[in-house]
Amino acid sequence: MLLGGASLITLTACDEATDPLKEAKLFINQQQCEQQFTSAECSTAQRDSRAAHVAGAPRFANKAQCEAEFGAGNCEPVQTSSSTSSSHTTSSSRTTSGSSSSTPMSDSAMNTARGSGDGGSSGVGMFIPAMVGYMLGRQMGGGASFASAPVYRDTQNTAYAGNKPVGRLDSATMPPPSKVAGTAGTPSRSTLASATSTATSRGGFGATASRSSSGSSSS
Amino acid sequence: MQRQTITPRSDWRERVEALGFDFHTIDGKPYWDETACYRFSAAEIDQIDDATAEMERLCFGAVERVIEEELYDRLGIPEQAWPLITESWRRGDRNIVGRFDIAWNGTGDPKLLEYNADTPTALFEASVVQWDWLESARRGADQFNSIHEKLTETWQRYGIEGRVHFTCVRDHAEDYATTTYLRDTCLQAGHDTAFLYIDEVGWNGLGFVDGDDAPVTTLFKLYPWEWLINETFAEHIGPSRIRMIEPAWKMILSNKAILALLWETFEGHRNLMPASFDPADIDGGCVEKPVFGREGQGVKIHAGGTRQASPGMVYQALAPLYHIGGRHAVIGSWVIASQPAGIGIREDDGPITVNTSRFVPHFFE
Repeated sequence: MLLGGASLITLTACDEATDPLKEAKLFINQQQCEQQFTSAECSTAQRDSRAAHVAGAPRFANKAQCEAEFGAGNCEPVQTSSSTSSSHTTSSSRTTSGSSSSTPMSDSAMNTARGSGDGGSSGVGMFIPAMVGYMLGRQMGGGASFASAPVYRDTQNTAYAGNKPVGRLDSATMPPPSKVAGTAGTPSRSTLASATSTATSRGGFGATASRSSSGSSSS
Repeated sequence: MQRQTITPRSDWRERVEALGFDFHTIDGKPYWDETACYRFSAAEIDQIDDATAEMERLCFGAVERVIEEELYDRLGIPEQAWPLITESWRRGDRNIVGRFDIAWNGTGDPKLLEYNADTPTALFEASVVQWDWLESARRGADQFNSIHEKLTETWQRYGIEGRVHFTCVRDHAEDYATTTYLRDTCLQAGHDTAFLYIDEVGWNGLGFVDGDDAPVTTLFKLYPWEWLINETFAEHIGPSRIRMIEPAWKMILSNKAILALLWETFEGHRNLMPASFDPADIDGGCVEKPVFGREGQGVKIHAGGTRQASPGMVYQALAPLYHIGGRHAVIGSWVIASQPAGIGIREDDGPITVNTSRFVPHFFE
Protein backbone atom coordinates (compact mmCIF):
# COMPACT_ATOMS: atom_id res chain seq x y z
CA MET A 1 0.00 0.00 0.00
CA LEU A 2 1.59 3.20 -1.10
CA LEU A 3 0.31 6.24 0.66
CA GLY A 4 1.04 9.91 0.58
CA GLY A 5 -0.56 11.38 -2.49
CA ALA A 6 0.74 14.75 -1.42
CA SER A 7 2.95 13.69 1.47
CA LEU A 8 -0.01 13.59 3.75
CA ILE A 9 0.50 10.24 5.26
CA THR A 10 3.31 8.28 6.72
CA LEU A 11 3.81 4.88 5.25
CA THR A 12 2.64 1.83 7.05
CA ALA A 13 2.92 -1.82 6.35
CA CYS A 14 1.96 -3.09 2.94
CA ASP A 15 -0.94 -5.35 2.53
CA GLU A 16 -1.37 -8.59 0.72
CA ALA A 17 -0.48 -8.61 -2.94
CA THR A 18 -4.06 -9.04 -4.02
CA ASP A 19 -5.13 -5.74 -2.55
CA PRO A 20 -6.58 -3.72 -5.42
CA LEU A 21 -5.42 -0.57 -3.64
CA LYS A 22 -1.85 -1.78 -3.34
CA GLU A 23 -0.48 1.07 -5.43
CA ALA A 24 -3.08 3.63 -4.48
CA LYS A 25 -2.48 7.07 -3.01
CA LEU A 26 -4.65 9.30 -0.91
CA PHE A 27 -6.01 12.57 -2.23
CA ILE A 28 -8.11 15.05 -0.32
CA ASN A 29 -9.23 17.08 -3.30
CA GLN A 30 -9.39 17.19 -7.07
CA GLN A 31 -6.50 19.60 -7.42
CA GLN A 32 -4.18 17.30 -5.51
CA CYS A 33 -5.31 14.29 -7.50
CA GLU A 34 -4.74 16.02 -10.82
CA GLN A 35 -1.06 16.34 -10.07
CA GLN A 36 -0.81 12.60 -10.66
CA PHE A 37 -3.87 11.57 -12.64
CA THR A 38 -5.95 13.10 -15.38
CA SER A 39 -8.93 15.23 -14.53
CA ALA A 40 -11.31 12.57 -15.83
CA GLU A 41 -9.63 9.82 -13.80
CA CYS A 42 -9.86 11.92 -10.66
CA SER A 43 -13.50 12.79 -11.24
CA THR A 44 -14.35 9.16 -11.79
CA ALA A 45 -12.47 8.10 -8.66
CA GLN A 46 -14.19 10.75 -6.62
CA ARG A 47 -17.61 9.77 -7.93
CA ASP A 48 -16.95 6.06 -7.44
CA SER A 49 -15.59 6.61 -3.95
CA ARG A 50 -18.60 8.69 -3.05
CA ALA A 51 -20.86 5.87 -4.25
CA ALA A 52 -18.85 3.28 -2.33
CA HIS A 53 -18.96 5.56 0.69
CA VAL A 54 -22.73 5.76 0.71
CA ALA A 55 -23.04 2.05 0.08
CA GLY A 56 -20.33 0.70 2.32
CA ALA A 57 -19.10 3.17 4.95
CA PRO A 58 -18.83 1.80 8.50
CA ARG A 59 -22.24 2.17 10.09
CA PHE A 60 -23.07 3.05 13.66
CA ALA A 61 -26.37 2.79 15.44
CA ASN A 62 -26.12 6.32 16.80
CA LYS A 63 -24.19 9.51 16.35
CA ALA A 64 -22.35 9.27 19.68
CA GLN A 65 -20.84 5.92 18.83
CA CYS A 66 -19.71 7.18 15.45
CA GLU A 67 -18.26 10.40 16.88
CA ALA A 68 -16.45 8.50 19.59
CA GLU A 69 -14.42 6.90 16.89
CA PHE A 70 -14.31 9.53 14.18
CA GLY A 71 -14.53 12.76 16.13
CA ALA A 72 -17.11 15.38 16.95
CA GLY A 73 -18.91 16.74 13.94
CA ASN A 74 -17.45 14.13 11.65
CA CYS A 75 -20.40 11.84 11.32
CA GLU A 76 -23.41 12.07 9.09
CA PRO A 77 -26.74 10.29 9.13
CA VAL A 78 -27.49 7.82 6.39
CA GLN A 79 -30.60 5.93 5.42
CA THR A 80 -29.88 2.30 4.97
CA SER A 81 -32.08 -0.24 3.44
CA SER A 82 -32.18 -3.60 5.03
CA SER A 83 -29.36 -5.37 3.33
CA THR A 84 -29.28 -9.04 2.56
CA SER A 85 -30.32 -12.53 3.27
CA SER A 86 -29.29 -12.89 6.86
CA SER A 87 -27.58 -16.22 6.50
CA HIS A 88 -24.93 -14.66 4.31
CA THR A 89 -24.61 -11.35 6.04
CA THR A 90 -21.45 -10.79 7.94
CA SER A 91 -20.47 -7.94 10.11
CA SER A 92 -17.26 -6.60 11.42
CA SER A 93 -16.68 -4.84 14.65
CA ARG A 94 -14.48 -1.84 14.63
CA THR A 95 -13.04 -2.48 18.00
CA THR A 96 -9.72 -2.95 19.58
CA SER A 97 -8.99 -4.54 22.89
CA GLY A 98 -10.04 -2.69 25.99
CA SER A 99 -6.99 -0.47 26.17
CA SER A 100 -7.15 3.19 25.45
CA SER A 101 -3.76 3.27 23.83
CA SER A 102 -3.28 5.44 20.81
CA THR A 103 -1.83 2.75 18.58
CA PRO A 104 -3.56 2.44 15.27
CA MET A 105 -6.05 -0.35 15.01
CA SER A 106 -4.33 -3.44 13.83
CA ASP A 107 -5.34 -5.38 10.79
CA SER A 108 -6.26 -8.32 12.89
CA ALA A 109 -8.58 -6.23 15.00
CA MET A 110 -10.27 -5.12 11.83
CA ASN A 111 -10.78 -8.60 10.55
CA THR A 112 -14.28 -9.49 9.72
CA ALA A 113 -16.07 -11.42 12.39
CA ARG A 114 -18.27 -13.96 10.67
CA GLY A 115 -21.64 -15.01 11.84
CA SER A 116 -21.70 -12.55 14.66
CA GLY A 117 -25.40 -12.18 14.62
CA ASP A 118 -27.57 -9.33 13.58
CA GLY A 119 -25.63 -8.02 10.63
CA GLY A 120 -25.88 -4.57 12.03
CA SER A 121 -26.93 -2.41 9.16
CA SER A 122 -30.58 -2.92 8.55
CA GLY A 123 -33.05 -0.27 9.49
CA VAL A 124 -32.91 3.48 9.28
CA GLY A 125 -31.13 6.31 10.99
CA MET A 126 -27.59 4.92 10.99
CA PHE A 127 -24.52 7.15 11.11
CA ILE A 128 -21.43 6.99 8.99
CA PRO A 129 -18.15 8.91 9.20
CA ALA A 130 -17.48 11.72 6.77
CA MET A 131 -15.14 11.06 3.87
CA VAL A 132 -11.88 12.95 4.19
CA GLY A 133 -10.62 11.98 0.76
CA TYR A 134 -10.23 9.06 -1.55
CA MET A 135 -7.60 6.59 -2.61
CA LEU A 136 -6.79 6.15 -6.27
CA GLY A 137 -4.31 3.88 -7.94
CA ARG A 138 -3.63 1.92 -11.05
CA GLN A 139 -4.41 -1.74 -10.72
CA MET A 140 -1.55 -4.18 -10.84
CA GLY A 141 -0.79 -4.94 -14.44
CA GLY A 142 -1.19 -1.31 -15.39
CA GLY A 143 -3.30 -0.33 -18.30
CA ALA A 144 -6.45 1.65 -17.89
CA SER A 145 -7.69 -0.22 -14.85
CA PHE A 146 -8.06 1.76 -11.63
CA ALA A 147 -8.97 1.08 -8.05
CA SER A 148 -10.43 3.72 -5.81
CA ALA A 149 -11.97 3.86 -2.34
CA PRO A 150 -13.32 6.41 0.12
CA VAL A 151 -11.02 7.33 3.00
CA TYR A 152 -11.93 8.08 6.62
CA ARG A 153 -9.79 8.95 9.59
CA ASP A 154 -10.44 8.43 13.24
CA THR A 155 -9.56 10.42 16.33
CA GLN A 156 -6.16 8.70 16.40
CA ASN A 157 -5.53 10.07 12.91
CA THR A 158 -5.52 6.60 11.48
CA ALA A 159 -6.73 6.54 7.87
CA TYR A 160 -9.07 3.86 6.63
CA ALA A 161 -9.92 2.93 3.10
CA GLY A 162 -13.37 1.55 3.67
CA ASN A 163 -12.92 -0.72 6.66
CA LYS A 164 -9.19 -1.21 6.25
CA PRO A 165 -6.57 0.79 8.12
CA VAL A 166 -4.12 2.04 5.52
CA GLY A 167 -1.79 4.29 7.46
CA ARG A 168 -1.55 7.32 9.65
CA LEU A 169 -2.17 10.84 8.54
CA ASP A 170 0.53 13.38 9.16
CA SER A 171 -0.70 15.43 12.12
CA ALA A 172 1.28 18.45 11.01
CA THR A 173 -0.64 18.85 7.76
CA MET A 174 -3.89 17.23 8.81
CA PRO A 175 -4.60 17.51 12.51
CA PRO A 176 -6.79 14.83 14.01
CA PRO A 177 -10.43 15.63 14.62
CA SER A 178 -11.40 16.65 18.11
CA LYS A 179 -12.80 14.01 20.32
CA VAL A 180 -16.39 13.87 21.37
CA ALA A 181 -17.39 17.17 22.88
CA GLY A 182 -17.53 17.15 26.66
CA THR A 183 -15.68 13.91 27.01
CA ALA A 184 -12.38 14.07 28.75
CA GLY A 185 -9.69 11.99 27.19
CA THR A 186 -10.09 9.03 24.96
CA PRO A 187 -13.57 7.61 24.70
CA SER A 188 -14.11 4.39 26.45
CA ARG A 189 -13.45 1.50 24.12
CA SER A 190 -16.26 -0.38 25.69
CA THR A 191 -18.73 1.95 24.04
CA LEU A 192 -17.20 1.02 20.72
CA ALA A 193 -17.58 -2.66 21.23
CA SER A 194 -21.22 -2.45 20.29
CA ALA A 195 -20.61 -0.28 17.28
CA THR A 196 -20.86 -2.64 14.39
CA SER A 197 -20.54 -1.91 10.74
CA THR A 198 -21.63 -4.00 7.86
CA ALA A 199 -18.56 -5.22 6.08
CA THR A 200 -20.08 -7.38 3.43
CA SER A 201 -23.51 -7.72 2.00
CA ARG A 202 -24.50 -10.69 -0.10
CA GLY A 203 -27.34 -11.80 -2.24
CA GLY A 204 -27.10 -8.79 -4.54
CA PHE A 205 -26.69 -11.15 -7.46
CA GLY A 206 -28.74 -14.20 -8.25
CA ALA A 207 -32.22 -12.99 -7.44
CA THR A 208 -33.46 -13.33 -11.01
CA ALA A 209 -32.56 -17.00 -11.12
CA SER A 210 -34.67 -17.75 -8.08
CA ARG A 211 -37.62 -16.13 -9.81
CA SER A 212 -37.03 -17.95 -13.08
CA SER A 213 -39.50 -20.76 -13.56
CA SER A 214 -37.07 -23.07 -15.30
CA GLY A 215 -34.09 -22.23 -13.11
CA SER A 216 -32.01 -22.32 -16.23
CA SER A 217 -29.72 -19.44 -16.83
CA SER A 218 -27.86 -20.77 -19.80
CA SER A 219 -28.55 -21.30 -23.44
CA MET B 1 -23.44 -34.25 -43.77
CA GLN B 2 -25.18 -37.49 -43.04
CA ARG B 3 -26.90 -39.02 -40.04
CA GLN B 4 -25.83 -42.57 -39.31
CA THR B 5 -27.62 -44.98 -37.01
CA ILE B 6 -25.08 -46.83 -34.89
CA THR B 7 -24.88 -49.20 -31.95
CA PRO B 8 -23.98 -47.42 -28.73
CA ARG B 9 -20.88 -48.53 -26.87
CA SER B 10 -21.96 -51.26 -24.48
CA ASP B 11 -20.44 -49.41 -21.54
CA TRP B 12 -21.34 -45.90 -22.70
CA ARG B 13 -23.08 -45.01 -19.46
CA GLU B 14 -20.10 -45.92 -17.26
CA ARG B 15 -17.72 -44.25 -19.68
CA VAL B 16 -19.47 -40.90 -19.79
CA GLU B 17 -20.05 -40.92 -16.05
CA ALA B 18 -16.36 -41.59 -15.51
CA LEU B 19 -15.73 -38.33 -17.37
CA GLY B 20 -17.92 -36.53 -14.88
CA PHE B 21 -20.90 -36.28 -17.21
CA ASP B 22 -23.84 -36.99 -14.93
CA PHE B 23 -26.73 -35.42 -16.83
CA HIS B 24 -26.62 -37.78 -19.81
CA THR B 25 -30.29 -38.58 -19.10
CA ILE B 26 -32.79 -35.82 -18.35
CA ASP B 27 -36.22 -36.63 -16.95
CA GLY B 28 -35.78 -40.27 -17.94
CA LYS B 29 -35.02 -39.39 -21.56
CA PRO B 30 -31.65 -39.58 -23.22
CA TYR B 31 -29.78 -36.30 -23.50
CA TRP B 32 -26.51 -37.83 -24.61
CA ASP B 33 -27.52 -40.01 -27.57
CA GLU B 34 -25.00 -42.24 -29.27
CA THR B 35 -27.54 -44.38 -31.08
CA ALA B 36 -26.66 -42.09 -33.94
CA CYS B 37 -23.85 -39.88 -35.11
CA TYR B 38 -23.26 -37.33 -37.85
CA ARG B 39 -20.64 -37.83 -40.52
CA PHE B 40 -19.13 -34.86 -42.32
CA SER B 41 -16.59 -34.57 -45.10
CA ALA B 42 -13.46 -32.49 -44.49
CA ALA B 43 -14.73 -29.98 -47.04
CA GLU B 44 -17.99 -29.61 -45.13
CA ILE B 45 -16.11 -29.00 -41.89
CA ASP B 46 -14.05 -26.33 -43.66
CA GLN B 47 -17.26 -24.70 -44.76
CA ILE B 48 -18.64 -24.65 -41.19
CA ASP B 49 -15.31 -23.32 -39.92
CA ASP B 50 -15.31 -20.49 -42.47
CA ALA B 51 -18.96 -19.65 -41.87
CA THR B 52 -18.36 -19.50 -38.12
CA ALA B 53 -15.44 -17.11 -38.51
CA GLU B 54 -17.56 -14.99 -40.80
CA MET B 55 -20.46 -14.90 -38.33
CA GLU B 56 -18.12 -13.72 -35.58
CA ARG B 57 -16.84 -11.01 -37.89
CA LEU B 58 -20.39 -9.87 -38.66
CA CYS B 59 -21.23 -9.83 -34.96
CA PHE B 60 -18.24 -7.64 -34.16
CA GLY B 61 -19.38 -5.30 -36.91
CA ALA B 62 -22.82 -5.16 -35.32
CA VAL B 63 -21.35 -4.45 -31.87
CA GLU B 64 -19.32 -1.57 -33.34
CA ARG B 65 -22.44 -0.17 -34.89
CA VAL B 66 -24.59 -0.48 -31.78
CA ILE B 67 -21.95 1.30 -29.69
CA GLU B 68 -21.18 4.00 -32.28
CA GLU B 69 -24.82 4.80 -32.96
CA GLU B 70 -26.04 4.06 -29.40
CA LEU B 71 -28.73 1.67 -30.59
CA TYR B 72 -29.21 0.19 -27.11
CA ASP B 73 -32.87 1.12 -26.99
CA ARG B 74 -33.60 -0.95 -30.05
CA LEU B 75 -32.10 -3.95 -28.28
CA GLY B 76 -34.05 -3.30 -25.10
CA ILE B 77 -30.84 -2.93 -23.10
CA PRO B 78 -31.45 -0.90 -19.91
CA GLU B 79 -29.66 2.39 -19.52
CA GLN B 80 -27.52 1.36 -16.54
CA ALA B 81 -25.82 -1.15 -18.82
CA TRP B 82 -24.77 1.31 -21.52
CA PRO B 83 -21.61 2.68 -19.88
CA LEU B 84 -20.51 -0.82 -18.86
CA ILE B 85 -20.92 -2.05 -22.42
CA THR B 86 -19.17 0.93 -23.97
CA GLU B 87 -16.29 0.84 -21.51
CA SER B 88 -15.77 -2.91 -21.79
CA TRP B 89 -15.62 -2.63 -25.59
CA ARG B 90 -13.28 0.38 -25.61
CA ARG B 91 -11.01 -1.26 -23.04
CA GLY B 92 -10.88 -4.30 -25.29
CA ASP B 93 -12.12 -6.70 -22.61
CA ARG B 94 -11.60 -10.08 -24.13
CA ASN B 95 -14.18 -12.78 -24.50
CA ILE B 96 -13.73 -16.48 -23.91
CA VAL B 97 -16.58 -18.49 -25.28
CA GLY B 98 -19.67 -18.41 -27.47
CA ARG B 99 -21.79 -20.77 -29.53
CA PHE B 100 -23.43 -20.05 -32.86
CA ASP B 101 -26.46 -22.13 -33.62
CA ILE B 102 -26.33 -22.84 -37.32
CA ALA B 103 -28.89 -24.23 -39.73
CA TRP B 104 -27.33 -26.28 -42.49
CA ASN B 105 -28.13 -29.44 -44.35
CA GLY B 106 -24.88 -29.75 -46.23
CA THR B 107 -26.00 -27.75 -49.25
CA GLY B 108 -25.98 -24.02 -49.78
CA ASP B 109 -24.57 -21.73 -47.12
CA PRO B 110 -24.68 -22.33 -43.37
CA LYS B 111 -27.13 -19.84 -41.84
CA LEU B 112 -26.99 -18.19 -38.44
CA LEU B 113 -30.01 -19.09 -36.29
CA GLU B 114 -28.76 -17.31 -33.19
CA TYR B 115 -25.68 -16.57 -31.14
CA ASN B 116 -25.43 -17.82 -27.57
CA ALA B 117 -22.76 -15.30 -26.77
CA ASP B 118 -23.09 -14.88 -23.04
CA THR B 119 -24.06 -18.11 -21.27
CA PRO B 120 -23.62 -21.00 -23.69
CA THR B 121 -23.86 -24.59 -22.46
CA ALA B 122 -23.30 -28.04 -23.96
CA LEU B 123 -19.63 -27.11 -23.88
CA PHE B 124 -18.42 -30.03 -21.82
CA GLU B 125 -20.37 -32.49 -23.98
CA ALA B 126 -18.89 -31.02 -27.15
CA SER B 127 -15.35 -30.71 -25.87
CA VAL B 128 -14.85 -33.82 -23.75
CA VAL B 129 -17.66 -36.36 -23.99
CA GLN B 130 -17.88 -36.51 -27.77
CA TRP B 131 -14.08 -36.57 -28.01
CA ASP B 132 -14.00 -39.63 -25.78
CA TRP B 133 -16.67 -41.17 -28.01
CA LEU B 134 -14.51 -40.53 -31.09
CA GLU B 135 -11.46 -42.12 -29.46
CA SER B 136 -13.28 -45.28 -28.51
CA ALA B 137 -16.00 -45.62 -31.18
CA ARG B 138 -14.51 -44.01 -34.33
CA ARG B 139 -10.82 -44.37 -33.88
CA GLY B 140 -9.02 -43.18 -36.99
CA ALA B 141 -11.68 -40.64 -37.87
CA ASP B 142 -11.36 -36.98 -36.98
CA GLN B 143 -13.60 -34.50 -35.20
CA PHE B 144 -13.99 -30.74 -35.48
CA ASN B 145 -13.01 -30.18 -31.89
CA SER B 146 -10.10 -28.16 -30.57
CA ILE B 147 -12.27 -26.63 -27.87
CA HIS B 148 -10.22 -27.88 -24.95
CA GLU B 149 -6.86 -26.84 -26.37
CA LYS B 150 -8.16 -23.42 -27.38
CA LEU B 151 -9.67 -22.80 -23.96
CA THR B 152 -6.44 -23.63 -22.19
CA GLU B 153 -4.40 -21.49 -24.59
CA THR B 154 -6.83 -18.62 -24.19
CA TRP B 155 -6.59 -18.61 -20.40
CA GLN B 156 -2.81 -18.61 -20.72
CA ARG B 157 -2.84 -15.60 -23.03
CA TYR B 158 -5.52 -13.77 -21.14
CA GLY B 159 -3.22 -11.74 -18.90
CA ILE B 160 -5.10 -12.32 -15.67
CA GLU B 161 -3.61 -11.16 -12.38
CA GLY B 162 -4.66 -13.05 -9.31
CA ARG B 163 -7.39 -15.55 -8.72
CA VAL B 164 -10.19 -16.24 -11.19
CA HIS B 165 -13.57 -16.90 -9.60
CA PHE B 166 -16.21 -18.99 -11.36
CA THR B 167 -19.87 -18.75 -10.58
CA CYS B 168 -23.29 -20.05 -11.63
CA VAL B 169 -26.71 -20.66 -10.09
CA ARG B 170 -27.41 -23.29 -7.46
CA ASP B 171 -29.13 -26.60 -8.12
CA HIS B 172 -28.50 -26.79 -11.82
CA ALA B 173 -26.34 -29.76 -12.81
CA GLU B 174 -25.78 -28.67 -16.37
CA ASP B 175 -24.71 -25.13 -15.54
CA TYR B 176 -22.50 -26.39 -12.74
CA ALA B 177 -20.84 -28.89 -15.10
CA THR B 178 -20.17 -26.21 -17.71
CA THR B 179 -18.77 -23.84 -15.10
CA THR B 180 -16.65 -26.52 -13.48
CA TYR B 181 -15.28 -27.57 -16.84
CA LEU B 182 -14.29 -24.01 -17.72
CA ARG B 183 -12.69 -23.64 -14.32
CA ASP B 184 -10.74 -26.79 -14.99
CA THR B 185 -9.36 -25.42 -18.26
CA CYS B 186 -8.35 -22.24 -16.43
CA LEU B 187 -6.64 -24.29 -13.75
CA GLN B 188 -4.78 -26.27 -16.39
CA ALA B 189 -3.59 -22.97 -17.80
CA GLY B 190 -1.90 -22.33 -14.47
CA HIS B 191 -4.30 -19.91 -12.81
CA ASP B 192 -5.46 -19.87 -9.23
CA THR B 193 -9.22 -20.46 -9.30
CA ALA B 194 -12.19 -20.69 -6.95
CA PHE B 195 -15.88 -21.46 -7.29
CA LEU B 196 -18.84 -19.80 -5.62
CA TYR B 197 -22.56 -19.67 -6.30
CA ILE B 198 -23.85 -16.43 -7.73
CA ASP B 199 -25.79 -15.55 -4.58
CA GLU B 200 -22.61 -15.92 -2.51
CA VAL B 201 -20.92 -12.99 -4.21
CA GLY B 202 -20.46 -10.25 -1.62
CA TRP B 203 -19.88 -6.52 -1.74
CA ASN B 204 -17.85 -4.91 1.04
CA GLY B 205 -18.10 -1.31 -0.03
CA LEU B 206 -14.85 -1.36 -1.97
CA GLY B 207 -15.01 -4.43 -4.08
CA PHE B 208 -16.62 -7.76 -4.65
CA VAL B 209 -15.62 -10.58 -2.31
CA ASP B 210 -16.17 -14.31 -2.14
CA GLY B 211 -17.55 -16.37 0.76
CA ASP B 212 -14.21 -16.06 2.57
CA ASP B 213 -14.17 -12.29 2.05
CA ALA B 214 -11.29 -12.66 -0.40
CA PRO B 215 -11.42 -10.15 -3.25
CA VAL B 216 -13.12 -11.18 -6.48
CA THR B 217 -11.27 -9.33 -9.22
CA THR B 218 -11.92 -11.59 -12.20
CA LEU B 219 -15.26 -13.35 -12.39
CA PHE B 220 -16.44 -15.88 -14.93
CA LYS B 221 -20.23 -15.98 -14.61
CA LEU B 222 -22.47 -18.49 -16.28
CA TYR B 223 -25.29 -16.12 -15.45
CA PRO B 224 -26.88 -13.83 -18.00
CA TRP B 225 -25.90 -10.19 -18.13
CA GLU B 226 -29.53 -9.27 -18.77
CA TRP B 227 -30.31 -10.61 -15.28
CA LEU B 228 -27.21 -9.26 -13.52
CA ILE B 229 -27.75 -5.77 -14.79
CA ASN B 230 -31.14 -5.50 -13.11
CA GLU B 231 -29.98 -6.83 -9.74
CA THR B 232 -28.96 -4.80 -6.71
CA PHE B 233 -25.19 -5.26 -7.03
CA ALA B 234 -25.19 -4.09 -10.64
CA GLU B 235 -24.35 -0.53 -9.59
CA HIS B 236 -21.06 -1.76 -8.10
CA ILE B 237 -19.78 -3.44 -11.26
CA GLY B 238 -18.39 -0.27 -12.81
CA PRO B 239 -16.87 1.29 -9.67
CA SER B 240 -15.33 -2.01 -8.54
CA ARG B 241 -13.39 -2.41 -11.80
CA ILE B 242 -14.11 -6.11 -11.62
CA ARG B 243 -13.19 -7.99 -14.76
CA MET B 244 -16.23 -9.91 -15.93
CA ILE B 245 -16.18 -12.85 -18.31
CA GLU B 246 -18.03 -12.79 -20.61
CA PRO B 247 -17.49 -9.03 -20.85
CA ALA B 248 -20.39 -6.58 -20.72
CA TRP B 249 -20.31 -5.96 -24.47
CA LYS B 250 -21.59 -9.51 -24.98
CA MET B 251 -24.95 -8.12 -23.84
CA ILE B 252 -25.34 -6.77 -27.36
CA LEU B 253 -24.86 -10.18 -28.92
CA SER B 254 -26.68 -12.46 -26.50
CA ASN B 255 -29.83 -10.56 -27.25
CA LYS B 256 -31.83 -11.99 -30.15
CA ALA B 257 -32.73 -8.53 -31.36
CA ILE B 258 -29.21 -8.55 -32.77
CA LEU B 259 -30.54 -10.83 -35.53
CA ALA B 260 -32.64 -7.95 -36.88
CA LEU B 261 -29.71 -5.54 -36.58
CA LEU B 262 -27.36 -7.97 -38.29
CA TRP B 263 -29.74 -8.28 -41.23
CA GLU B 264 -30.25 -4.53 -41.36
CA THR B 265 -26.47 -3.96 -41.32
CA PHE B 266 -25.41 -6.78 -43.65
CA GLU B 267 -28.60 -7.37 -45.64
CA GLY B 268 -28.33 -10.25 -48.05
CA HIS B 269 -25.22 -11.75 -46.46
CA ARG B 270 -24.91 -15.41 -47.39
CA ASN B 271 -24.71 -16.60 -43.77
CA LEU B 272 -27.72 -14.66 -42.51
CA MET B 273 -31.46 -15.19 -42.76
CA PRO B 274 -33.74 -12.17 -43.15
CA ALA B 275 -34.77 -10.93 -39.71
CA SER B 276 -36.79 -7.96 -38.48
CA PHE B 277 -38.86 -6.63 -35.60
CA ASP B 278 -41.74 -6.55 -38.06
CA PRO B 279 -42.84 -9.92 -39.47
CA ALA B 280 -44.36 -8.13 -42.47
CA ASP B 281 -40.78 -7.59 -43.68
CA ILE B 282 -40.32 -11.32 -44.09
CA ASP B 283 -41.65 -13.28 -47.02
CA GLY B 284 -43.14 -16.69 -46.34
CA GLY B 285 -42.82 -18.57 -43.08
CA CYS B 286 -40.99 -17.09 -40.16
CA VAL B 287 -39.87 -17.90 -36.66
CA GLU B 288 -40.90 -15.66 -33.78
CA LYS B 289 -38.25 -15.48 -31.03
CA PRO B 290 -38.36 -13.62 -27.72
CA VAL B 291 -35.50 -11.12 -27.58
CA PHE B 292 -34.48 -12.42 -24.15
CA GLY B 293 -35.46 -16.05 -24.60
CA ARG B 294 -33.20 -19.00 -23.96
CA GLU B 295 -33.21 -22.69 -24.79
CA GLY B 296 -36.05 -22.44 -27.22
CA GLN B 297 -38.50 -20.96 -24.73
CA GLY B 298 -41.24 -18.94 -26.39
CA VAL B 299 -40.05 -19.70 -29.91
CA LYS B 300 -42.93 -20.13 -32.39
CA ILE B 301 -42.99 -21.03 -36.04
CA HIS B 302 -45.47 -19.26 -38.29
CA ALA B 303 -45.37 -21.51 -41.33
CA GLY B 304 -47.66 -19.36 -43.43
CA GLY B 305 -46.18 -16.13 -42.13
CA THR B 306 -47.69 -13.66 -39.71
CA ARG B 307 -48.37 -9.98 -40.11
CA GLN B 308 -48.74 -9.27 -36.42
CA ALA B 309 -45.69 -7.82 -34.65
CA SER B 310 -45.50 -8.42 -30.90
CA PRO B 311 -43.35 -6.34 -28.59
CA GLY B 312 -40.22 -8.05 -27.30
CA MET B 313 -40.12 -10.37 -30.31
CA VAL B 314 -37.84 -10.66 -33.29
CA TYR B 315 -38.82 -12.43 -36.50
CA GLN B 316 -36.51 -14.50 -38.65
CA ALA B 317 -37.20 -16.23 -41.96
CA LEU B 318 -37.39 -20.01 -41.70
CA ALA B 319 -34.00 -21.58 -42.33
CA PRO B 320 -33.93 -25.14 -43.62
CA LEU B 321 -32.58 -27.48 -40.92
CA TYR B 322 -31.04 -30.84 -41.66
CA HIS B 323 -33.83 -33.31 -41.07
CA ILE B 324 -34.41 -36.96 -41.67
CA GLY B 325 -37.08 -39.32 -40.40
CA GLY B 326 -38.72 -36.54 -38.40
CA ARG B 327 -35.49 -35.61 -36.63
CA HIS B 328 -34.07 -32.11 -36.91
CA ALA B 329 -30.46 -31.19 -36.27
CA VAL B 330 -28.88 -27.87 -35.35
CA ILE B 331 -25.13 -27.35 -35.46
CA GLY B 332 -23.72 -25.63 -32.39
CA SER B 333 -20.49 -24.06 -33.57
CA TRP B 334 -18.11 -22.92 -30.84
CA VAL B 335 -15.86 -19.91 -30.85
CA ILE B 336 -13.14 -19.68 -28.23
CA ALA B 337 -11.64 -16.20 -27.99
CA SER B 338 -13.45 -15.58 -31.28
CA GLN B 339 -11.71 -18.47 -33.08
CA PRO B 340 -13.82 -21.31 -34.54
CA ALA B 341 -13.07 -24.28 -32.29
CA GLY B 342 -15.48 -27.12 -32.94
CA ILE B 343 -19.08 -28.23 -33.17
CA GLY B 344 -21.72 -30.14 -31.26
CA ILE B 345 -24.95 -31.39 -32.86
CA ARG B 346 -28.29 -31.09 -31.09
CA GLU B 347 -31.16 -33.17 -32.41
CA ASP B 348 -34.86 -32.89 -31.72
CA ASP B 349 -38.06 -34.51 -32.90
CA GLY B 350 -39.45 -31.02 -33.47
CA PRO B 351 -37.93 -28.17 -35.45
CA ILE B 352 -37.16 -26.11 -32.32
CA THR B 353 -34.09 -26.98 -30.30
CA VAL B 354 -34.79 -26.92 -26.55
CA ASN B 355 -32.75 -27.68 -23.45
CA THR B 356 -33.54 -31.38 -23.62
CA SER B 357 -32.71 -31.76 -27.32
CA ARG B 358 -30.39 -34.71 -27.66
CA PHE B 359 -26.65 -34.23 -28.05
CA VAL B 360 -25.42 -36.49 -30.86
CA PRO B 361 -21.69 -36.93 -31.57
CA HIS B 362 -20.05 -36.27 -34.93
CA PHE B 363 -16.93 -37.16 -36.87
CA PHE B 364 -15.41 -36.31 -40.21
CA GLU B 365 -13.16 -38.15 -42.62
